[in-house]
Parts: sequence; C-alpha cells; structure tokens
Amino acid sequence: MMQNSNGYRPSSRVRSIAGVAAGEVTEPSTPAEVAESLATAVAQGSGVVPVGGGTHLGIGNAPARADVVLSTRKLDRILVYEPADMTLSVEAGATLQQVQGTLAERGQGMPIEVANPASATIGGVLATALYGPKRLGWGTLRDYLIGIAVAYPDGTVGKAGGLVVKNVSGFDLMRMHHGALGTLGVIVSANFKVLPAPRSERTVLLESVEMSALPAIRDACLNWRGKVAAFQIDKQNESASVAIRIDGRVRTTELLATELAGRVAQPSSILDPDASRSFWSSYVARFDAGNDPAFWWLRCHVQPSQSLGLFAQLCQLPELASAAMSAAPGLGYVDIRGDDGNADSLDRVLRHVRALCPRTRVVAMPESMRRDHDVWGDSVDSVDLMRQLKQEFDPERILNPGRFVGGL
Amino acid sequence: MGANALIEQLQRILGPANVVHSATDLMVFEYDGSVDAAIETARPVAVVLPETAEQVAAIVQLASREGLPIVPRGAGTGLSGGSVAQQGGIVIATTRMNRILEVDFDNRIALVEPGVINLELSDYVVPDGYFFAPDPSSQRACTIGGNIAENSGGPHCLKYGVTTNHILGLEIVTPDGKLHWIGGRGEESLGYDLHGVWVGSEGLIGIVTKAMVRLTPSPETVSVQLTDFIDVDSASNAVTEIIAAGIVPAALEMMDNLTIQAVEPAFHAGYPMDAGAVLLVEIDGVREDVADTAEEIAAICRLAGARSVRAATEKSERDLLWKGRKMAIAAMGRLAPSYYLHDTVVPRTRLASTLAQVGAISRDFDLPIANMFHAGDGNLHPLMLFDRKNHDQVERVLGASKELIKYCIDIGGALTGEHGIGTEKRDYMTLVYTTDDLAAMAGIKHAFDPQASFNPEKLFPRGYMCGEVRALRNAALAQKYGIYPM
Ligand SMILES: Cc1cc2nc3c(=O)[nH]c(=O)nc-3n(C[C@H](O)[C@H](O)[C@H](O)COP(=O)(O)OP(=O)(O)OC[C@H]3O[C@@H](n4cnc5c(N)ncnc54)[C@H](O)[C@@H]3O)c2cc1C
Repeated sequence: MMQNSNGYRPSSRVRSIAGVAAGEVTEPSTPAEVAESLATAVAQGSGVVPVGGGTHLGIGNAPARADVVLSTRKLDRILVYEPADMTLSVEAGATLQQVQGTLAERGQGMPIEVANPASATIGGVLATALYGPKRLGWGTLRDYLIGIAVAYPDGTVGKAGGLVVKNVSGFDLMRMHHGALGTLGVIVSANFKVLPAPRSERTVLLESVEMSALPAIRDACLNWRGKVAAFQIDKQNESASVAIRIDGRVRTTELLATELAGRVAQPSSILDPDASRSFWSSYVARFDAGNDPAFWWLRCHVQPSQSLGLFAQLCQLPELASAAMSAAPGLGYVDIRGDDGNADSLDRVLRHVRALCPRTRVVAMPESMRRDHDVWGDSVDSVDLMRQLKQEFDPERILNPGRFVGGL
Repeated sequence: MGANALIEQLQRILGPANVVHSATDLMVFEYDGSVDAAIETARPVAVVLPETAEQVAAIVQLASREGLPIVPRGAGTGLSGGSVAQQGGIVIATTRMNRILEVDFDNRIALVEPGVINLELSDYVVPDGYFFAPDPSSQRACTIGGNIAENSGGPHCLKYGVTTNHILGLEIVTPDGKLHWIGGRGEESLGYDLHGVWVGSEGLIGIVTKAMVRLTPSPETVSVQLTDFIDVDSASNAVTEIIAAGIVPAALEMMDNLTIQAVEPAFHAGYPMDAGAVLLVEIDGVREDVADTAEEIAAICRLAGARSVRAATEKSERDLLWKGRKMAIAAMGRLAPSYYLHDTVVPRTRLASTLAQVGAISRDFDLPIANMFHAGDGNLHPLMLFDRKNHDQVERVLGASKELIKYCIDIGGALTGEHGIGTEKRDYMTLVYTTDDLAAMAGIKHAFDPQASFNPEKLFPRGYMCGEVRALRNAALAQKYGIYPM
C-alpha cells in the first residue's frame, strides 16, 4: 500500500487483517496511552492488532480476533539523535524514510532495506524482522538495536537496554521483541546505533548466466579477499541474472568491482554508485505488495550451502514457471513471489515447495487462501518455550491472537 | 534428602570422579574472577562436572525435584560474581564438556560444547582462514558458555559485534530439566528469538549445553598503529574524530600513563613511558583499504596532537603491540596487591569528560586508578589499585566505585558493557531501570524459571524477586542441608 502525497497512511482505515474484519481504530499518542489501551483491551477481552505503516497487514496467520486496531501513527517522533555518538532513539511509528532522511543529513544511516520505506515504520520492521539482500554484508536491524521501550498488556511500559553502543545491563529484552510480531507487547520506541553511510558503492551485474555456472560464481564472490554487501541470483527465463553489491571507500569499491568482474569470468557490467543505489532500491521494491490482492511471497530458509541447489530445484517446478525467484546464496534463503495468487495453484505451489524445503514461510498470500494454511509451516523448534513466554507477557492472549507461530 | 544422599545421587548420574564435594576441593569454586573486588564468596554443596547434555539434564531434574539451587559455571573468570553459588546448592561446571563437535566452513559455522575455551576455537579454525570473533581479554581461559551467558565483548567487537552477533542457535537445559534446541542450525529459525534472549541471561534461565556459533573469515591484511599523546584528552578527541570520519576500525583501544607504567617494563611493547595516553588502532580488510584507512587515521591522530604514529603489519610486531594491552591487567600486580576492574559505558563523545572525572575520583579517594579500555565503544575499564587487607582502602574503593557508577549513569551511560550485573551491580539496577522495566525482565525469569532455582541472587536488585517465596524456600533448604543462606 502506498502513502499518498498528503501524508495519509492507510493504518487509520484498516478494514481487515488477513481476511478478518477489523474493529475500531485507536491512535494513542504517548507510550502510556498505548499501555492503557492494552489494559482496557484485557478488561474487555478484545483482541488487539498493532499496526504501523500497514505494509504487511497480511503477515502471519489470520488473527482470531481483531476488535481493536492499535495504530502507532501518532508515535512518530525522533526522540534523540546524537550524530557524534552515532546513536538514535525513535518512536515506533516513525517511517524508515523519515529516519533514513534524518540520518542522511549527517552522512549516516542504517543499512536496512524495506520494500516501501515511505510507509514502513521502525516498529513494523522490528516486529516482522524481514530483511533484504544487504543483510549479507550488514546484518539486520537486530544487530543495531541497543534499547527498547514496550507497552505490555498489564498496562505498564518497560524499557531495556539504553543509548550506548555496548550494554549488558540485564536481560536482552530487545531480542525478544524483534520478530515477535507484536505478540508479546507493543514496541513504542527503540534505540539504535547508526553507521556512517558507505562512501561509495558499485554493483557487478551478470545477465543470462547458465544455471550450471552459478556454483563457480558463488565461490568467486564468497571465497574472496573482498567483502560483498549483497549477492542475489534471480531466475531469468531458463537462465539467471546475478547482482553483486560492493560498498566502502571510493578507491577500493572501484578496484574490487573490477577485480570481481574478472573473477566471475562471465560477461558483466559494473554500475556506478548512483546506478547501483537505484538498482537495489528498485530490487527491494519488487517485494511490495502494493494494492495487489493477488500478490504472494514465500521465503524458504536453508543453510547457505544448500541455497543454490534448492534454487535450481525450484526453477524446475512447472508450478513455478511464471513465478519470480531469487536466491541469496550467502545468506541461505530463496524468495518466490508472484501476483497470480489463486487458491488452487498456490495450494499446489506451497505443497511442492514445502516438500523441498520444510522451513518455508509464507510472507504474503491472498486472503482466499488463509483458512487452509499455517503460514509458518510446522518446522519450528521449541514452540513450547515460546508458549511459556507468551503466557507470561500476554496471558489473556489479546495481542495479535493466533497470528504467530504455533497458534500464538 | 540430606547432603550425603544428594552426593550419592549425583555420583550415580556422573560417576564419583565427576562430583566435587570435599570442603578443600570446593574452595576454588567459592569465588570467580572478581575475587579481589571483595565480592561475596559462597560454597556450594557440590560441584558437578558432567560430560554430556543428558547428564546435565539429569542433574537439573534431580535439583528441581529437591528444590535445590543450580549455578552454571564455565572457567570462573567472570568479573561480576556470576558463577558464585550465593545460596549453595549445586554448581554445574562445564569444563569437561569441551569438544568442538562440528566445523562447517561452507556455512561458516561450528557446533561446540559450552566448556570449549574461547581461544581454542579460534586456534582450531585459524589454519583454514577463519576465527571466532568475540575476543575477551580473558580468552585464554574463559569458555564459550561463559561468553554466551555474559554476552561478552572484547577489543574486536567494535567492528565484529559482541557474542550475541555470533550465536546462531543453542542447545539448552531449562530449569525443569528438559533439553531444547533454540534458534537455527545454520539456517534461519522462525518464531521468537529465544537464543537472542538466552545470550546475556547470566545463567538465570537455564544452562547452555551446545552452541552453534558463527565463524568469521580472516581478513586479508591487518595493520596495527600505536599512536601516543601527551594527555588522555587529546587521545579521546582523536577517538571521536576517527569515529566521526566514518571509519570503523577493527579495534580502538586506549591506555593511560599509569597503565603504561605497569605494562612497558613488564613486556617491552614499545609504549613511550612519558606518554599521557596511547591509542592502539587495528585496521583490517583488503590491503588497499587498510593502506588508505591507516593513512587517514594517522592524519586524524596527528591533527589531534599525536606525538608519533608507529605502524606494524608483520604479525610478530603486531602481537608485541597487542601484548601490552592484552596483558595489562596481569601487569597491574606490579603496582598493587589487589585491583578492582570496573566496566561502564558512556556515550563516545563523553570519553574525555569521563576520564577527567575518573581522575578527580582518584584524587578525592586517594586511590590510584589506571585506564585501559575499548575507547571506540566508549566502554571504560577504570582499574582501582589497592590492598585488600587494608580495610580503609577497601572502604575507599567501594566509595569511589559508587561515585564512578553514578557519574556514568548520570551522563547517559550503562552499568556494564561486557562483564554483566551478577551480584556486583545488582543493587545498582534501580539507578537505571524503573520497577516496570525490572518487572518486564523478571517476566523472562518467571517464564522459564518459575521456581527461581537457577543462579539465585543475581542480576535483580536485592529483595526484588518474590521475597516471600524465597524465604520459604530458604527455610526448606536449611532444614534439608543445614545451610542457612543469607
Ligand atoms: C583478566 C580478565 C579479563 C577479562 N576481559 C574481558 C573482556 O575483555 N571482555 C569481557 O566481556 N569479559 C572479560 N572478562 C570477564 C570474563 O572472562 C567473561 O565474562 C567470560 O565470558 C566468562 O567466562 P567463564 O567461562 O569464565 O564464565 P564463568 O565466570 O564461569 O561464568 C560467568 C557466568 O556465566 C554463567 N555460565 C557459564 N557457563 C554457562 C553455561 N554453559 N550456561 C549458562 N550459563 C553459564 C555463570 O552462571 C555465570 O553467571 C575478563 C575476566 C578476566 C579475569
């Protein structure tokens, strides 16, 4: 979904969450108000769906109840930014674009990519723990998170961590909320260490590469003196395209890009810094569902060494002939996506894909498919321990009930 | 069950050779690395040395049935009292679970037991061009399990991140005695980030029995620069300028004059004896990058007032420069019989003012304080020198510590950057966190250890966690074992 020109964000008029009709929208403007609305929901037995920019409303399973939509829209302030200390504290509803814009003014940034930075909020990115190709060189938001404040169903707001770059004072509650999809509490603000923006970058592009050449290319990129920021392989008809991103100092990026182009021993082109940046932002933008109700996206997780093999197998599946497919061989995942989601064919796709890779997560799927599938699959370890956490922090199960793994 | 019956049971699970219970043998387990700092000592009923995860589970089940406290222990180098058995009970030491089980270079991971010594893992994979990035100064002795429990750091964490950034999955025994795998085995895991919660939990919610760790490829080139300044102020400013220039060195360490006085005569690393402070800057990566970055850093340091810049790229030369830093704590024995090593973090721009405050505290309390620390992270380690036998000096150390910690918190710092809370700083937690903050942390404890049997009296402020429950439990313990915990 898009933010339109006058800054309107869809979070304030959510009609349904993964096919379940949504109730009233509440837009608290302080952390205390968030906690209060959670406590009220407990008293009334309502289910609460926290919503940020609304870019991934369909993520997770359909909630059992969505009586209250809790929007973080009004919690959008940058609380502290200390460029010299390279630390940032920001409310959960601030968009990634807003944050990156502020940091960019001082030549800094967070190496985090999302499909729709104009709408995606910090809270949403933390809660969904989705990441893009740059994770290879730079990690995820988890690696930059140094503090957090969370509103809990008991009506309190609890902080953890702080605003320094290294801290082991108490349990690491930050990690608990990262990727928890708001099922243990509603993130109201978060603190990060930020980085200097890379001085330069280049991208080496390879087109129409034979599938059989891919393993050698992988080795050339990953077992090399240079460090690669991103490395993606995409299905291109019967063959593949390859994109390798290198960033760092001006002289070295230029030199390493040329060296790598030689190493891969295939015809290639090298994108200059501007072209490289826009190549990757449009690469990531393809994963934006927009307003397309038929958009679907699966992410298959394997060990890095198995990802090219899985990619090759998936490319052979007739059911996936028209799907877009990308592998991240340095990270160990394959993304499959399409916009032809009808219940029948997707059902078959999912069965075939999970037979090859049980740890396949459905990131997006059409509402018509919802009822039949657990988007998380059934290969999650230690769900009983996860249940213990849920029981402790949200015993009445008001937060996104049923959306997370194992029915949590 | 009395103490003798308990020991018999433990021996049945582990064999007699793996159960330590005589008073003299137990003595070495009464304290950890913080012994000089006058942290309380305490004696467990028994220390067990299991060899398998199943044995660990069996012991935890036994302890849970008997309502006995359990304290996990690695090498005992911890500096916050973490592995001291405050309420007696059973200490599970992992020293005999020290195998490297799998190394997989294709996926850059290794599966290790918790008792593997940090440096041994790196030494094992270095010939293949990899290393284990977390490198606490105690890495010759401390265990991976201890690193995980404390979320340990080290000089190279500036660039490579602390322990949590290098742990992909864990096998754990929970306080109910069950074995679980949490996190991934090289592939991404789904669901809550349980292994992220476990790292840094100081042995309060279970014991780690295996760890899947990340291996990092060794850089092509490494260069170390030794830069010397007339005072800590100009060295601190150089640190701020390097960071502000957008450079992230592999390590950026500072040592002040008092440290140099202890280290140089002992190790002849070549630190100028008259320097107010030296910076040790390590840069690594591809050779062209290292060359350019080194030049830029040298220029920044000269502008900030450096008297000289000495660069070393040969390994032997680099090792010598590092030796002074890595052995600095050991060298302190030359200056005084005891020391108290602090661990606080301040915003990086406040380094200079914090060091000035450390100087003031040193004068006010008439106590020598040496500084050797991870400047790039703002992670200070003021080291107070004293004589443990001198009661007046001990009092002054405690007073100075309080002052120092309060100052750091007041300027937005943290209680600890890598040594953990343990018993040492538990009562300072309320300086930083509200009751609501602590309640959320207690939620994690309660979710996984509702009987509060793992590592009691750690991390949470005194009297904080369900006092009544504890009193009842203590009475039961006293009846069973004749132990009267405080
Ligand atoms: C000279 C010196 C220098 C040091 N330098 C550094 C440094 O640079 N950076 C740094 O971060 N630390 C440093 N330390 C502190 C210490 O070495 C680290 O905290 C280390 O990780 C502790 O490891 P250990 O095996 O000795 O653990 P222990 O001291 O035995 O235990 C520490 C804590 O971990 C828990 N624990 C141990 N094993 C397990 C397990 N398997 N499962 C669950 N819990 C467990 C214990 O209960 C305890 O709470 C230093 C210590 C000394 C003495």
